[in-house]
Amino acid sequence: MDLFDLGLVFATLRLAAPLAAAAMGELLAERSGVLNIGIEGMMLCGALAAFAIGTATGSPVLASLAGSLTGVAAAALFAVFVLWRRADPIVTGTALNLFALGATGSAYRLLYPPEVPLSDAPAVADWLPGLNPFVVGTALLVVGVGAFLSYTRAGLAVRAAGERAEAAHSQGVRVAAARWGCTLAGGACAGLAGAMLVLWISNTFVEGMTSGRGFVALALVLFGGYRPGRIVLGALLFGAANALQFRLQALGLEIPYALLLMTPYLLTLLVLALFAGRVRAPSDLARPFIARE
Amino acid sequence: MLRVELTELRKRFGSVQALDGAGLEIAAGEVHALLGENGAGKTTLVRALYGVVRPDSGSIRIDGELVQLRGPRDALELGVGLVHQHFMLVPELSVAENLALGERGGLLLGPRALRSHAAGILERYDLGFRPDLRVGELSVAQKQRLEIARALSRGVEILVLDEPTAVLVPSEIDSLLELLSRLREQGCSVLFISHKLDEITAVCDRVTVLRNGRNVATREVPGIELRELGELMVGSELPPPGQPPRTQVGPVVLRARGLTTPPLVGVDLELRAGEVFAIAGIDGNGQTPLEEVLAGVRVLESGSLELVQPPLALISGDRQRTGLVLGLGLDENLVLEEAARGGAPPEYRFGLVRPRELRRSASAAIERLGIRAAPDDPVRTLSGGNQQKICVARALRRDPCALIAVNPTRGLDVRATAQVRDELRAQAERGAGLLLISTDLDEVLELANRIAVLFRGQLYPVAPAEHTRERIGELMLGGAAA
Repeated sequence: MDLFDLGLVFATLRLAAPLAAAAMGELLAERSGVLNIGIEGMMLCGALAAFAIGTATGSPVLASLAGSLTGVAAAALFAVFVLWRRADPIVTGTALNLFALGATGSAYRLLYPPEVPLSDAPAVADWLPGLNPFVVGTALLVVGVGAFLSYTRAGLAVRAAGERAEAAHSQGVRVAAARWGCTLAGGACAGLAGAMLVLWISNTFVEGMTSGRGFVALALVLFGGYRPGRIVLGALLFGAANALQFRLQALGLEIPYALLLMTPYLLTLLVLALFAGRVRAPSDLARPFIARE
Repeated sequence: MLRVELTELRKRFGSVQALDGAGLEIAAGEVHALLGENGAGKTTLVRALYGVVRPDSGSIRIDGELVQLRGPRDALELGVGLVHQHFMLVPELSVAENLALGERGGLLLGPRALRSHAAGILERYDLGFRPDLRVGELSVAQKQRLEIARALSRGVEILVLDEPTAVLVPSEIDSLLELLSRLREQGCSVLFISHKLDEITAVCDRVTVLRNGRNVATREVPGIELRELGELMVGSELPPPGQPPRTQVGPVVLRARGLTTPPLVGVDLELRAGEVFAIAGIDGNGQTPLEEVLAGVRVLESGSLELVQPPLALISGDRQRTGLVLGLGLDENLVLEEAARGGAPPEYRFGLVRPRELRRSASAAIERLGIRAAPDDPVRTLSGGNQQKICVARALRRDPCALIAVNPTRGLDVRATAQVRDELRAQAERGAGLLLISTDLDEVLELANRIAVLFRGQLYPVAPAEHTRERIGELMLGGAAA
């Protein structure tokens, strides 16, 4: 097996797409002023729902839909605490992640006891080699989020709500609606990313299978300077590094595999940090907004 | 025809009654002035008219129609626009984006539509900047013009300006006043909040005076007297209860020469032992820069400051931000300053805290000033009055020779106010020099042996014979500068 071939490109896309989708969800939320730390948990919930509906119905479309909707539900839980009750987003997001890890694990063991033979989740097959529906879907999502933020009236309102909520409100922008909407849409993206892991990459559910991808998405948004294009570049870089280290492991070089596993994270951080320069987060990010006194 | 009628508005924030039955009427094509001291309720009143503050009771009529404003959206719909004191622009966005923000229209908003929409407005209101400029790069006056243009472009016919001239230099003020008269000719109604009498007489038709959340009077502006307005604004019904300290004035303890840092211009002052020297004036005329210069946290452009007789102590004008560490206990706040300076407070030995001593000194301060708290209560949990007393107690710990107090009784109730003032008076009687920077005229008259008025960064001494409410009120409004 060669180190570089077309297969490496396909593997890169496969590893990058879920990250890019989750990062778009995070981007939407953050641009509206909501720091959504719970993206990892939302992915995990989406993954389990996609697995359950997928094995039950055999339909990847229904399974993806279930994944997204479960992501929305988890995001709604987050929004109730953060936007309605004005809880701290870091604490709430961390709690949500821990809750999602425990809840999906328990639910999985209850739903699928070890003695029952387990069927695979339906696989989403490639249309052409390397051209998976999820790749197309993620690309559309990235373009759509970018266009929404830059070229629509609602996108302008979202950006203003994230930068100066009070100023936006004083011009008649519905700040709370913008933040709720973006948080829920972000949950849908995260849930979809979770579904991708199940329906495209591993075809089964494993406890804690997101393994930090939600946090990588979080970092991508920040280091990508809150711009969709750069975020996708970051995701591709991470995907490529990851695909490459799998190859290196397969080649059986005498490098400790833990070191190889670490390299994509390290490389992504390094490159993004170099390009990050002066990244400026939205000014009102993670600041609660009270419309009326 | 009346465009706006506000009647009997009441609004309470916590323990403060911001509006206590205030009202206001604005006719069509009128420039109406709203005058009042700090805390009189002017801003709350206009924020109620803009739907940002929900009044507890009272009614708002616009064009004769009783309305319930759920937010700025409703107000804008009815043709009411507010230009806040702190601009409501998004500095990170472009001029064009700020102009489009909140406008209704099609779903899509591409760069071309954005630019042409903005260009139209910028041309109509004669604003000479590019639509794609980031608002953060505009000057203060440009931002203000942009806000006004944005409101007018949205069909606003009742324009409210909250202290628009406080942030402008004189030439900019002139062009703003010109703009207001032009708006009146076009049939717009304008509500103009200002402290400055010359501005009011220059452009306004009528003036409403607010005091303690109530309206005191509404007058026709032509032919009105400066003295009468000053009197209406500060009120003259309460005689000052205390008297300035009667002491022997000693040598100079603090001397400043030509202090200059915007907006202060060449401020000279001398503070002598045993006297209370008060600097009166309306907020925003340079009080905060002056405090910062005296505290040593602001760099001077020119001028010098000499502490002839240390130690110096400061009672900060913002107890929550610079006066106290809210998360620490009362006892820790008391010793913090000395401990941090590397001094040797009796509560510490070899750099270690002595808990019993700390407790004892905190209890002493509690008893002396009547603070209602335990020694180790976090300062955050205490009332404003109790917090202020901690600041006072700390300032007095080292028996300062020069004491600076900035609005030492702001936000305190009558009793706490009297206690703090008695403490300060006692300091002067002990032989300390007290520099009182206060926007509260009652306080100035009650404590000061010597008074000066700070107006637009300059200090105007007031002769002892002129220590009257009327004369100082006039000076606070710019009577000496005119």
